[in-house]
Amino acid sequence: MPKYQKWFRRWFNNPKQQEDSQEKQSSVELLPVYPSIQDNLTFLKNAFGHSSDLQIQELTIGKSPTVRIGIAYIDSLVNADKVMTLIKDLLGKELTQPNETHPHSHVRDWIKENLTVVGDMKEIRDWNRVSKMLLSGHTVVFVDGTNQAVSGDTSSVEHRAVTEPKTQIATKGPNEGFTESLRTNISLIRKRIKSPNLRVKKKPIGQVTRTDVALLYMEGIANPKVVKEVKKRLENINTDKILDTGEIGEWIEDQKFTLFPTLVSYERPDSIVSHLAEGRVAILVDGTPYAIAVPVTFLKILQSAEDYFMRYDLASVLRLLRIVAFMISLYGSAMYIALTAFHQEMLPTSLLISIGAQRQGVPFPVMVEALLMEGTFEILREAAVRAPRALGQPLAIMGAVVIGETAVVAGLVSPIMVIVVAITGISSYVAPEAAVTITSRILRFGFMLISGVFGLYGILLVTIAMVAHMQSLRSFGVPYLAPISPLVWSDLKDSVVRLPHWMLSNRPHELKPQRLWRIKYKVGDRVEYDD
Amino acid sequence: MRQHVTEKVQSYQLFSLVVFFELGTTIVLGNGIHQARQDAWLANLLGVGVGLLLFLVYARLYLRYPALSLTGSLQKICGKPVGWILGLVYVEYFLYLAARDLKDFTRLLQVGYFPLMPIAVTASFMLLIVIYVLTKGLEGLAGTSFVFFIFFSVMFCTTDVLILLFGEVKPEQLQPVLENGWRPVFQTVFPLMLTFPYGEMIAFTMMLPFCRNQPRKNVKTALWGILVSGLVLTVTVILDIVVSGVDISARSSFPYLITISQVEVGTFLQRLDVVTILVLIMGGFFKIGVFLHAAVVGAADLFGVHNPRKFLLPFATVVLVTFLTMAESLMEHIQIGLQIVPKYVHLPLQLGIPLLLLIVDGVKSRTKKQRSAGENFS
Repeated sequence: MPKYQKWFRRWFNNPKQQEDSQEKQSSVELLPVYPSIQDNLTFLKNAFGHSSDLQIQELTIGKSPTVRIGIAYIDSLVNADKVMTLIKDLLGKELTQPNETHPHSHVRDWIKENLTVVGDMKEIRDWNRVSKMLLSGHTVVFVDGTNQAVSGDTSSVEHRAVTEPKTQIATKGPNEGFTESLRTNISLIRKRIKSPNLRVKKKPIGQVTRTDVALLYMEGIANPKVVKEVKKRLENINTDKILDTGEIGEWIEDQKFTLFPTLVSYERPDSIVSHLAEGRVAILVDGTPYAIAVPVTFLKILQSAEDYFMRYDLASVLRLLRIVAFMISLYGSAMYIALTAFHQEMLPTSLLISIGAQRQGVPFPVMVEALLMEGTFEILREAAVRAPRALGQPLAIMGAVVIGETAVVAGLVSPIMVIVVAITGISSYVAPEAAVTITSRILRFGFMLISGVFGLYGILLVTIAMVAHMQSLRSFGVPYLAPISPLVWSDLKDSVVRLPHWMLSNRPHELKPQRLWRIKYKVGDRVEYDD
Repeated sequence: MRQHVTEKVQSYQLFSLVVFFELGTTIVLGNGIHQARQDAWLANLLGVGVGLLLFLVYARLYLRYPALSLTGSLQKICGKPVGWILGLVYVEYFLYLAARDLKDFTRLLQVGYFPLMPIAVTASFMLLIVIYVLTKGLEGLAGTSFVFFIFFSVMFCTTDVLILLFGEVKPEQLQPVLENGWRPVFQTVFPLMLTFPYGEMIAFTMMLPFCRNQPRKNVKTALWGILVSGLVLTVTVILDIVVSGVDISARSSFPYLITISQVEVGTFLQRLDVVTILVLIMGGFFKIGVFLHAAVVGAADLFGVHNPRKFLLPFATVVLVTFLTMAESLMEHIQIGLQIVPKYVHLPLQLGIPLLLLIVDGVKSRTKKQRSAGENFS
């Protein structure tokens, strides 16, 4: 752990609070289930604080001998039909020959064997498991006289159907997006990878929310060291709630203080599948439609899923376009400031005269003008995103009229400034990942400030510092600027451009995958798939 | 997870760092045009040869002790006290060179682009960025140089092709060859070109041990770097002469700027002047970065400090103060730079001491061999 992190923890964490929370955590009931169902049910009621959605029913089943059983479930989490069938089944069926010595444990076994309407039958011995099963929508059956309970899966949680992804938009390729249900999401991935080597490891994280977090990777392809490292970092997360992958991301990033994203979240299962197949590791979180893939490099983030679905020539051109757009969104307004304020001799004379004429009457220096316009643009953008749908259209019109027309007429800004701001603003949305958009939006202001002071000199020097920073970044040990620095020739095939699929015979070197070759050419052989 | 990362500098990174270091600010200045006039290209070619030979001296020293930087091998060969003091002299020399380069660089910047900006401000900003990049270590510096090398080579090749295509190329301007005989050419090469930029390669003796673990390959890479940068300089000088003419080039402080401004493709592609300022800044940055890093690593080695980064801030301050106080006026600065420093500082430190070291080391090892041979016989 870096030094500053330790320091932060020591500074911000009150040691008293820490002890307190640990104490509460240790009071988890590791008590065994009582043999008497009366005791059990009372204990359960108390443990849940008489919560109104905890349903408890007592039944008597069998004729001679009769056995009392208790059924408990949380009605907001279960499918009522399933529970009803379960109860009917219990009441309707005749008990087989009772075991003389242990009549009650016999009933338990009988329940376990005969309740076929519900899946995932489990024996439970302690209260910790009982509460866990109840909270994940299972129904727990207590049998009088035994200190074991049986639970069956009756869960049905409301969730959205699989729909088109909202944020990660592509024009080609599959149109399914992740949903909020972890099970659905994993099934969306399984559906696309028909291999037993896809490994799914689940683990609850968060003391309060106990959110299921799943780690997915391809055994035999993913680098075991990376998998181990991701597991370790996930285990080290110490928090009370996890609601989105973004929260996980902040805990497991390599470098905490950077504007560049070292992991990205995807909403499309096909993106995650292509990452898994290249040897990356995916992290899915229950309750959010975004999944993380690690490790990623800068160029990988600038790529879009559909790059692999369209023809390579078009994909290459689009990738180049995206890089150029990223540059424009970073440098556009800064370059304008530098050229007009410091290096007028570099502009063609006619353009310079035109700019000079337009700026006549503008009361601010170029830098202030640019900052003003960019700031307004950002505010409008944020408002348009947050505003209710119905307000979106009026906002857009207002923004267009206010910025494009009135500000110019009022003599606050020059028309050319509006063009520059519009181009840089639109360019920043070409990047397929929202994370990169944020990077360029924040850095843009830095570049504008420095170019207002030092012109091109400042822009280039800060760029040098930026490149040095990027090249020191690591995403789970993988250099951020790979395959350019460090240079890997064979990986350049799928970086700034994309060559045809049949030429991409190896997986990225920078990931150090266990199986490097994804295509094996053997003359006269049929294609074989190794699992 | 750090074991994933190769912390050592790769050979292509070393190559790009050498190229940037050699080109430095010289490429914009038209190396040798002011002294050798239309024979500057000959002087440049000769200069590369001499530069390669000079680097072979450093390389020999490095190959003798591949794990030791210059400060280390000095102590090994001359003994602890003498070597240590000499090492300190070199550390100060690198700091002085950094300050000198900073002065040259900011002066050019002021003359060419920022007439109103105080040079102390531009210099401080430059040092700030250098410090930041050097906190990433030699790997950070070399890696960054490689990324910018891609950028530079694309830019340089395009510009030169454009100059050839659209500039007014008059090859006859290269004539008459050797108008005043070989004398001006030799005078340009020795001592001026030998010491600047080729002799400054001595700073790399502080870095080679931190490059990839193949000493011979490292040396080869550095030699290629020198050769390529020498050829680039030669090409630039030839273009300057051929396009702008000797008289204009020799009178101007930025011959390359004038050459580039000749390019005009229709009305849409003109004013490529931005190329010169970019090249100038990149070259200046990596040159100052290399010198400061050499000084910092040397000091860490001499004082036995584990983390060289601790020296960055104090050394940068020293460079800044030296920069501010080194010359009263521009004329004095140039006078010192052309007349005094090459003879009394550069030559002994860049050529004298390394040669002496090689001789002493050779004699030492021979006597040792003889002694051990003698012992065997007796």
